[in-house]
Amino acid sequence: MKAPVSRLSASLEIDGRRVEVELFPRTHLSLGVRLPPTTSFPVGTTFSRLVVPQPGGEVTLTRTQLAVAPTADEPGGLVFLDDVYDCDALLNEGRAKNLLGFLSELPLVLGLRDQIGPEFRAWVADLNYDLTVYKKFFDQQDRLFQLEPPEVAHAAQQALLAHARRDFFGYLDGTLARLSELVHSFTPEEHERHGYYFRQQLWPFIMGSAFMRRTNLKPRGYAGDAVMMDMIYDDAFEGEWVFNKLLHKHPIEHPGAQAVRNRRVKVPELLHEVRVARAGGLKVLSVACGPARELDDVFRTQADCRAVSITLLDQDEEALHAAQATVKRVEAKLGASIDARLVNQSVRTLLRDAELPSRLGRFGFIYTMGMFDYLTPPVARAVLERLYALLEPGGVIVVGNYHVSNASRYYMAYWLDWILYYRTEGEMLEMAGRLGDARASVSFDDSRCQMFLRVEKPA
Amino acid sequence: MRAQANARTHMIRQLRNGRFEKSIAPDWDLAKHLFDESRHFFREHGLDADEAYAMAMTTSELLENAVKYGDWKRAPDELIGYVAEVEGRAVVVEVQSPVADDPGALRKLDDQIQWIRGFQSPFEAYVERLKILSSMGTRDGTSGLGLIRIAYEARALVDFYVTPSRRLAMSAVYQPAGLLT
Repeated sequence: MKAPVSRLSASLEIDGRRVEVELFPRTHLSLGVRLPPTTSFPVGTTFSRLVVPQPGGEVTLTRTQLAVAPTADEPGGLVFLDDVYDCDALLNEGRAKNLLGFLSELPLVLGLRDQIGPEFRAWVADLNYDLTVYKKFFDQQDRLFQLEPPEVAHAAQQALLAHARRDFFGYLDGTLARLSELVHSFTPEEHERHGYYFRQQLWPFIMGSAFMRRTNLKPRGYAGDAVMMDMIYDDAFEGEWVFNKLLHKHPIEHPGAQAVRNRRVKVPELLHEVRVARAGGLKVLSVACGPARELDDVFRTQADCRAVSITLLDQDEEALHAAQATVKRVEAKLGASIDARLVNQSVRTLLRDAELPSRLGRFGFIYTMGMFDYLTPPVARAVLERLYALLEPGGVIVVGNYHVSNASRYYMAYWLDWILYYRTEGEMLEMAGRLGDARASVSFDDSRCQMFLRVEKPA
Repeated sequence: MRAQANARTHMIRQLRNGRFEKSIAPDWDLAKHLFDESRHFFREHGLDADEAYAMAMTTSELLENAVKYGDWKRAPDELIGYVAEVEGRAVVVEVQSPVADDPGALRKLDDQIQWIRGFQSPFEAYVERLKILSSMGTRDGTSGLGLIRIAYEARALVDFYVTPSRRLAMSAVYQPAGLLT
């Protein structure tokens, strides 16, 4: 039991009369209660209501029962009979959070099932069955391995992974091809509905994969955070059990994830091209920098560290910590310091800063990967215009965006709950077309998932 | 809201590009007129009746927010800027209004937009938000359901930015099915 640290005056109602009491913290779902000394309610007494005065007015809670008798030293215990209240929230926030409140909304969720086509339902049922069979088999092997010494268990699991990977990945590829057939002509509304149904059905499998779990739960509030990027860059098996390892690795090997690894190489190449074309040092701005793993190839020598300065901007402090760690690692590797500056800012609010050019400076090379995929056209246009204003004459902006034909599009949407704003080449060029004198072109990475808009400001 | 959605699944259609702009005082009665004007504009440019209605509803939601939450004390003479646009695959509604320079509030709005956009299905965002609200027994103006409703009922992607002249540009983008890319 928690020691009483705060108290709250309240009244309990019984047989039409009010009994003034004091409430104390007890457990998450029960309250401590001190009753007036003149009363003697036995354990099991039921009170019709508990009324708690709060600054915004009285809060009334439903039937409660004395479950533990008070003593001279300890308050008694009150439990609720008709609802489940968050008692911490009641005492600390003055809110009666009824944890059962959502029950009344469940028909809304259950009703969604009726809007799912029979073909899709049958396919999901088969997929569920197949995955259960695979999982049971792999789990059996894992349990067997656990009985062995660590070095034997490790070797056996590696052998199983190597063998199972071919078969299981082939199976998953087949299911993705079938998913594409089933949904490619869906309306946006149908995609949303079927995607929700799909994830409800496969949730236990999704939660087993470290990568899928993170893309679905989005602990930083958005998909594509620095940890997800690191998982893609690392391209390794993650998890304890074979099934979970496989389900983590498969999406990371898919073309959409390969495109992330490709752009990590492509950006330094484009940067070096600009550096060669422009004599002298180069000021670089990375917008939505994430863990900035590309810096390994931007700074390859001590001379690079002297010639290139970089400003790393991200809305997420955790991403900036990861970027800072990358900078430090590269500095240690090269034995030189890098002129790096970290800016914690969201692009959506960054645009309001009228003094942006004087505050951030101007740059010869600006790049942003994995950001425009989340910006709708009005915001994307505004961001590109402001970035263009930060460009020195002769400078270059490179903007990454997934193409509408991304081969992992349905995998990302249905399994990973990862939605992007896909664009065409024409839409990328149209954005740049609003920049007046800018010279623009579009290229692709080897996976053909990722486009690069290159915008050059005339010297 | 879109009962005919399934019927359109295999239909290939072409929207007509166009733009409609208007500036109005922060007066709810004036804003109401834009519902009909925007619905007419979207019908004229290729959306079906359900889609045009949904975008007109979105117009009303965003205008109501601008009237209610715009920083009219600081900028009493400024107007609400409204743009309806059809361009390529994107159908856009944008509403601009003065905004207080409150980094905390803007950050909260940014987080909320990203949270909503983080779900493939806005229905899921709606359900998750309902879970929170039903446990708190509140549906007041701070519930955050308004933006989710735009995403859920209009199938639109909500987004925003802030201009250097301290105007909040709030937008909703709808991408109709069945368009050639």
